[in-house]
Amino acid sequence: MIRIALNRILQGIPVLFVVITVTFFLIRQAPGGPFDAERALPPEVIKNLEATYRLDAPVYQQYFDYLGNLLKGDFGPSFRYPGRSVTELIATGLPITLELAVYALAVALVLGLLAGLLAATRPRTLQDYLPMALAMTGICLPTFLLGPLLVLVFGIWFEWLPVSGWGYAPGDKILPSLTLGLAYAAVIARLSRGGLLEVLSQNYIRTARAKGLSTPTILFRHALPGGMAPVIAYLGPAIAGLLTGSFVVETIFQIPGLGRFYVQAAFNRDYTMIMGTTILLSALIVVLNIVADLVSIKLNPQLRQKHRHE
Amino acid sequence: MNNKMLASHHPLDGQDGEYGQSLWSLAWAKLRKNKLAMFGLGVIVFMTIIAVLTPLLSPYPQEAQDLTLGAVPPSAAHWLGTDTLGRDLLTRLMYGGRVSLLVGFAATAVALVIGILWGTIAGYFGGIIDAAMMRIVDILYALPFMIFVILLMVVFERSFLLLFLAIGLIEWLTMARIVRAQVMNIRRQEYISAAVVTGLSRRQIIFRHIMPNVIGPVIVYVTLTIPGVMLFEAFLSFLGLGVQPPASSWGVLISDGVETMEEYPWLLIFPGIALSLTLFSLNFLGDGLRDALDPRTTVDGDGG
Amino acid sequence: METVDRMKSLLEVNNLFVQFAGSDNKEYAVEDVSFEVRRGEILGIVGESGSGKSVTCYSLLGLLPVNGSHTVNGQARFDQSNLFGLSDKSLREIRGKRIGMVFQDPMSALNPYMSIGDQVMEPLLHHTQTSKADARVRVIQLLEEVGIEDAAKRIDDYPHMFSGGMRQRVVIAMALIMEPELLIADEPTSALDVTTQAHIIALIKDAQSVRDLSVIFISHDLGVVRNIADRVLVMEKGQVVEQGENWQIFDRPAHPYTQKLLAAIPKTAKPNAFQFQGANSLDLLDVKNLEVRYADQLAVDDVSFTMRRGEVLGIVGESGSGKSTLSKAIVRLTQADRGEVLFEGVPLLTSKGEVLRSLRKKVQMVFQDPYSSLNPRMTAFEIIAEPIQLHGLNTDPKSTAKKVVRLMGDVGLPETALHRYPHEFSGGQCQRIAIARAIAAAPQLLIADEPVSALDVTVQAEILELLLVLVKAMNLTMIFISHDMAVVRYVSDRVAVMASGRLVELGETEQVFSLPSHRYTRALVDTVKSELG
Repeated sequence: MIRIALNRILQGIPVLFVVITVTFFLIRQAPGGPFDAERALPPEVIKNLEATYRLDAPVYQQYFDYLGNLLKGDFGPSFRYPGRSVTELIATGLPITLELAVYALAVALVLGLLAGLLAATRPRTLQDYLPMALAMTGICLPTFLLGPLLVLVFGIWFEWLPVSGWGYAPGDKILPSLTLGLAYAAVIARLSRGGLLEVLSQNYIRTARAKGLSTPTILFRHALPGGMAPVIAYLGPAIAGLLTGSFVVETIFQIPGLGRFYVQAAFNRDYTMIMGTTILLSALIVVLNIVADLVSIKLNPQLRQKHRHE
Repeated sequence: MNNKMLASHHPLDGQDGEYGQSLWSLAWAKLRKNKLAMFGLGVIVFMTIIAVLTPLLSPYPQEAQDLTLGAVPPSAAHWLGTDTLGRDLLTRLMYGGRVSLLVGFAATAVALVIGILWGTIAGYFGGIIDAAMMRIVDILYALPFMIFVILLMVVFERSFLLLFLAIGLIEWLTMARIVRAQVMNIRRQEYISAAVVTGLSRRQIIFRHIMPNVIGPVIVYVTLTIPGVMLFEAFLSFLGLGVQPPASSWGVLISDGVETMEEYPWLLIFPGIALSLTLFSLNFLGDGLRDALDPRTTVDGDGG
Repeated sequence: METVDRMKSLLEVNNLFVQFAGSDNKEYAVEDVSFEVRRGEILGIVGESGSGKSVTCYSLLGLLPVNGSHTVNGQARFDQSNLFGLSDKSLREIRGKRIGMVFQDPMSALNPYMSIGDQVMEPLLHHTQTSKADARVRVIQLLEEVGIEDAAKRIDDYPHMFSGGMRQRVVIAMALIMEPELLIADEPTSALDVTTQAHIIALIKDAQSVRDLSVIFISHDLGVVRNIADRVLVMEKGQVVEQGENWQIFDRPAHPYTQKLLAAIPKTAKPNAFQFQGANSLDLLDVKNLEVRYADQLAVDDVSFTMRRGEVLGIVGESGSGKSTLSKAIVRLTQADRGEVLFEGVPLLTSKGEVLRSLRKKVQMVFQDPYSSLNPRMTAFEIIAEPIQLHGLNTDPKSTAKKVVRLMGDVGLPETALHRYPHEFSGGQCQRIAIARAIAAAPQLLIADEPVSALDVTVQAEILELLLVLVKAMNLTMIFISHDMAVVRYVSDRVAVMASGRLVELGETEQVFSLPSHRYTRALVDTVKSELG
């Protein structure tokens, strides 16, 4: 297991390297420098600014400097918030985004698995159709539509829940977590239903029935491990989706997380900030993908053995 | 219980008519029985026709606005009301739909072309070629592409072309994987061996025997990719990173609608309905196609 | 007296009907079936696919698919209890505890996510209060008994780490762990190789006599049933057509269907076998030192043989013996790593372009799976016409059409079926189309790779007959590959035996059959002989 983990991590490193490099040079291609948008600054001021941020050095020099700083965990200074480093800004935003993603994942897993399990135990009955219709709705209602609708209904009409913020008022974490998590709950519901039904039609389920086992035993002991395979495989992409989805949710609910910083940085052409967030989020996604991968290997004896022989 | 055991009858017995039913006509018969899928198909066809004919059909010119009017709720003159600048919402919705659908179809087409070529080549030749090609796909898969696309949209001048390409470049990966899996599965079938032994050339085998059998799953995936792409475009537009004014898309309209949803809810609701209805329809159609093209189901209902 | 009778019959089924929803015509999967199983006897149920033999047993235990709706009518009494009147809970007390089951495909019958030990002990933990430690001891003991070596070490292994035969032993252990009174074995040997088959049958027989079990043994294979059953039930299309003692069914079959089934088993050698002349100039095919490597294993290991024009060479061997790989290497579906194949003196393995195309025309193949060997999106006409058009045998469409119609007739298919698709044909009919395709370009050498193993025994007999007729009429040379010794004996002039990639024996059929020299050939021949009785 440790060898597989190391192997995966070694594969992840070049990916991260590519991300960093592409991001760095892509940003240099952007039309206009970071200070162009400011009210016509005198050329010598711009020169000074560029010297401060070392933008006057050759590009490759800047690249290696940046890499070196990255290794020290330094994402450089923010162009837009003078005196504050990107690392500082990220440090305030990241915990909030991660917290939001974790709650949303919990929503997605709990509701999704529940719906999938209900549907798969009685296929082609109301107990199947109802959760699946809801799931379809969840898939077709994009976050940026669902969020405002939830705000409209629960925040503005009923005034049950706060409509913005994170940790300022009791209950203000509920709507953002639901908004972000529901779409993934829908996908997980469909995947777990499909996976379970597939497994329930397998011969080894018939074997289990022939042993005289009770239905819950068959469902939980025999069907669940195999039936969950598609869900586990989906966890990697889901986490990536949750992190990018947080851009929208944080914008809608005015949550000071990483996503909102990113969107603002994008509009302000705060290049160091964009780079920092891109790299950090990419790293997170790469790492979490590896974790999801390892989990699915861990849970499947056949895969486990295959990798042992590799 | 395997089905073969139960299906003992010789299918030829008691059939009339000289011409058999091809798998396509069987699939169509199954699809026609699926009301949701047919509803989806109807909506998509309707939306597409409207989008194509918008310049002829739209009640007002694209740029027409009546600032004195401001935002009014639906009325006889403006079926879906107007926005805060006094523009007819139905007109904006129709023009926005053109963009949304175009992005959906065009980006999917980009993904389709690359994905099919890549997947077929990898799947057909196998061995080292396959290993190398799929390794590239794996590495690209691990890249957080969504963030890259956002980055691209931030850095460069936003144009349609960039949008198609950027989204298409993400989606082709999955397409390539699906096509490859299907090609490899078909390559294992004995009729491919039979074709080789008969003496068909590689090209004849790919085009006569492999391609027609790959199309099914690809169609299903295409139908399910289009809504994904449209969603992503709307997502970018919502963040202000997608389609730029004066052009608009459903994502832009929803984004605008959110700003004023307390005072003028129809500005959010109608674009929301348009987008969701299209997504619903495509998903229903995709699910229906999947069932229809699955040989394990029968015309009468569910098999196996 | 009545009590004694009841003691004798363990299971009694009366007027059983099973119907699946969805079939438009009111066709029964099982129709008016009645039988009994006495204590300590082995009841064989034979029939072809679709005869309802498995459905009968599954319906008794409530094991038909949960989702598919079906109706079951009739009476079934097991010991004192009415199986159809029991609550779900009480039925589960019988299923798995007093009635054990063994299934056809050991590859899919075990849960891939659970260790075999956990699976075997599960009934014990579920039905009784046994502690896990005690259960483990019992499982190890039982696994040893069914022939899993080193059971104590292997108990925590997962199913995929065992071979098919070993998995079937695990399934049997699982069925026996509650010491049931009745064992239902549904085609327990059909997915296994001949020699493994013999071991599993011996194992079931042993278990039966040691425990005084009653057994229902379901199989399509008459030889196996004849070997094991005390009494036999013959089923056709959901009905019992005949039942009786073993000797009655096999020696004095009364019902025409039983007679047809028995007649379909190839029992004899090929009539008027090919006369071999000494002259080597007549050699059609010359295989020299052929070698195929998969990963680091030799799938075909230094195989050489020659074939004379007009002869039928049978190649037998178990799965993995390399017989299919050999045939694929000859037609270049698999790349040979070493060696040479000469067809009429022309090197087959290295030819290119026009030479290769003309060789392709002369060497054709028929495959195992009749469905997968036909492109599902082409009609019978298109499939058969393809080689004719490709090799430019007929340039105008009209004569091509005429030729296709004639070929359809040659393989025994009606002209009306010309424009139908493969899914509209039965397995046997598909195989006929595949044969028509193979002979369309008038080849000289036909390679048939397990052409009848996917077919029912009566259909198998028809296809064998067809092949023999065509070989004679078209003066074909044929390589006939099969795992079934009896079938090979029936069609071949000479037999080659393969084991782990090597050609271990080659000789005239009757000689190999009566005086097998290689150890493996003897094992093969013995199974066939014992089944034929």
